[in-house]
Amino acid sequence: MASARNLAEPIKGRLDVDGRLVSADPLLLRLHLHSGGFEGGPLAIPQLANLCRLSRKLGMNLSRSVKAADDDNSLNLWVETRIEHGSDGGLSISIVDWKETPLSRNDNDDEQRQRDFDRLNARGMIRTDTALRITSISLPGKVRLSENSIGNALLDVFAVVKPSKPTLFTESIAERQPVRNHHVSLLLEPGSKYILSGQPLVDNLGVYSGYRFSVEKLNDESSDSGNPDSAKPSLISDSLFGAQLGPALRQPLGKIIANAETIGSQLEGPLRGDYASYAKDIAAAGRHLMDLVNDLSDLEAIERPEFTVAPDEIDLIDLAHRASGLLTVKAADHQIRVDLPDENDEMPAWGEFRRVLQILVNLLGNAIRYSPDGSVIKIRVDHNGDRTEISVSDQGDGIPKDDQHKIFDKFERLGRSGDGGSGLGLFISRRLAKAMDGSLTVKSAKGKGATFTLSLPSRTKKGSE
Amino acid sequence: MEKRDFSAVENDRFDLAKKAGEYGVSSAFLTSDLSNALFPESGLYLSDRLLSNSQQYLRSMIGEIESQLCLKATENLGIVHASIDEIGNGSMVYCYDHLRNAGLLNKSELLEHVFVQAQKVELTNRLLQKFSQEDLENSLASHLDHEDKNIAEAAMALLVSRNRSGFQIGQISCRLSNVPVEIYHDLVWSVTAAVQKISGCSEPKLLSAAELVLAEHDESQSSDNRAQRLAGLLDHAEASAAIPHPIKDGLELFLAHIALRSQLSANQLVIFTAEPNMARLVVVMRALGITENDALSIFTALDGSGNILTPASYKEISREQAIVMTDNWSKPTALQTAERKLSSNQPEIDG
Repeated sequence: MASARNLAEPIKGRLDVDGRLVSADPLLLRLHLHSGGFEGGPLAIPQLANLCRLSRKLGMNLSRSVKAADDDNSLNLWVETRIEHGSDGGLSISIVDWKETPLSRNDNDDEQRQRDFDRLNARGMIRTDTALRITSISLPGKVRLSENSIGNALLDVFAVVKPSKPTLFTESIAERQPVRNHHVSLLLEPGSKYILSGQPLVDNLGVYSGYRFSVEKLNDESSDSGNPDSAKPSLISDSLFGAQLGPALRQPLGKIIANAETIGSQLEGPLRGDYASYAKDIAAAGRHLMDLVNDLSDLEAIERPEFTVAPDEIDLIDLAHRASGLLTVKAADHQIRVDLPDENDEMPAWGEFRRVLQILVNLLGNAIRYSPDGSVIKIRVDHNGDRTEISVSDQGDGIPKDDQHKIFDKFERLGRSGDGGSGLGLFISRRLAKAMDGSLTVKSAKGKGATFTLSLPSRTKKGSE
Repeated sequence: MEKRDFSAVENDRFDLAKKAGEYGVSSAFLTSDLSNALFPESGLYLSDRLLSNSQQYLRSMIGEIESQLCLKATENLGIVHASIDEIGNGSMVYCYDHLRNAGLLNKSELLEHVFVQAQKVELTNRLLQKFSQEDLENSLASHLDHEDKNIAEAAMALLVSRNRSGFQIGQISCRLSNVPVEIYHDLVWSVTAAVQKISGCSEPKLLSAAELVLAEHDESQSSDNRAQRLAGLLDHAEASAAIPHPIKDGLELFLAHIALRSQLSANQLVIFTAEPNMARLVVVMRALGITENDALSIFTALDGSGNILTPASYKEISREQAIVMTDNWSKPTALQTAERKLSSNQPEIDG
């Protein structure tokens, strides 16, 4: 909200012959200091300094509007300069109006933001001239294409494909109308699919000067969704969250986490201590949101009736080491040691590699989260009939018997909050285990830690078949 | 001060041989004058009245400066010199022809300022044909009671400045405080050189007099400056600022409001009003989201050629396109000139 200081008296300042601010009322002095100046130093408010220089150069008194910025405000000042004749060649400044307006983003910022979002969403950009020849093109991962396309007609590089109609596209272009969500394919890569949207441009004479298009790659899931024959088992749902919201959230979240960690680690220069701490909070919150997004995507996927997993030949000891490797830093933060089976042994089983790893990371992550600092987490493997089992045991507070059946429910947190969990991990893990013809169980007693056991169908070792 | 004669009538004694010599030089430019008259490049129609007003304004400006300079020299700095005294108190304009012949008046910033002043007189005359001076001033006077004393004070300053300017139908004269400082600075030194030449006075005090004239120039007294300040205060004070209108606000305040909101300069807007159908002004109004009724009313108030703006033709202009165009016109002039010259589709236009 804009605000104005009603100045009963103008704000005064005085510069000496060398342009140094030798006296100033408090508001002017504060602005000077905030602009990087120092007491008795050259006037540091850029536009005001320019006005004073012009006044001195012309030897004339000026009265003009001056813009400045202070913290989060844009300042509109009305300034009068007065040459002091007969003294030491000084110049007096009189600010008669002082208006503050919260800083707003300008169009260039918005354009930059739009480009950032385009990049985050893997969107490309194409500029054309009036004849629809490409004058600049940027498609993620298509550098060579970008180089070879400039100068070619847009429709020599892309073809409009179903369900969009080529005639509708060309008619819209001919009428200089915006075009939205046309499906196109790269002529050099017939299988590729993109969504093309564009706006006509006008130059500074008001004349049509071409188009600016944004290009978004259509991923396989969504492009095939209308074709039941091409439906194949997919771990990520093609529904709203999995295919659309999930990726849209993951990309900006990834950027937030990366930037916050860069700031927090002070890699690009020193920072006030509390700011670095805030940046780490932002990164932690970002990671929590990212986990939640991943969990919700998985949840949506596993609740679909057609959800299946692909059975791979897996080795549970290898997977245990991989899961532990992923959480090494987190465990080290709490001085927790993970006791693993011998890396040279093997414990073959059937299960989908990625999903079993996901379950183990969830179990180990929970164990680290709920174990006291300096404790030990044990991962053990064993055979049980035609099943192969891997267990993760911690030395935490344990889970009361009455609560043990609840922890596999959706969003069940047993009253805990603020520890970074979403309440979905164990629910998803158990559903995944069942999908792999396995099970996930817990044994625990209050105060005696907990042991989670994943059981999967056994597989005979290679070479012993 | 004695009334001065700013007319274009030659006052020199008629000397046929001298004139013959002068025409021998000047006739070399015959073809370029004819070329400019036959093939104007700007697309603006410069009426005889506007040309006459422009010349009158320019002579008035030179006359006022030379008079001030010489009076300062004689009265404040004690120069005793018959010619300086005559120029200071005389009724003629002495330096104009010298400056014109030397090409010192043929500068784009100066000529643009002169054109804008002449066009503003034209616009004021158009408004006064439709509404009385009293009506035009009533709205401005209403700001005198504004609760914000800065606004009241700025409105008073503008009212005073406008009354001092004293535009009257058929007359134009220069008030030096309305001359932009950069142009004024340049002109004062040009006039000083001309006075030195005419009078033969080489006293350093004449230069000191020029410095005094410059130092006493007060930009804050200019009507445009005061209108700009008042527009800024009003726009800031009233979140849902009313639509500016030349009848309601007066010409200067109207221009200052539109300039502030469009990021254009008031001079640009005045030039827009001289263009055929005021096309660019219409586009600016569209960009600012002025409704068709208000736009039509503003157009009618400023128009002097019987042109009509219809609601359909106004609404036909795409708002998005109007915003882009207005934004482009608000770029620095040097950038626009360079872009125009670099544009391969456009013929090169000088100036």
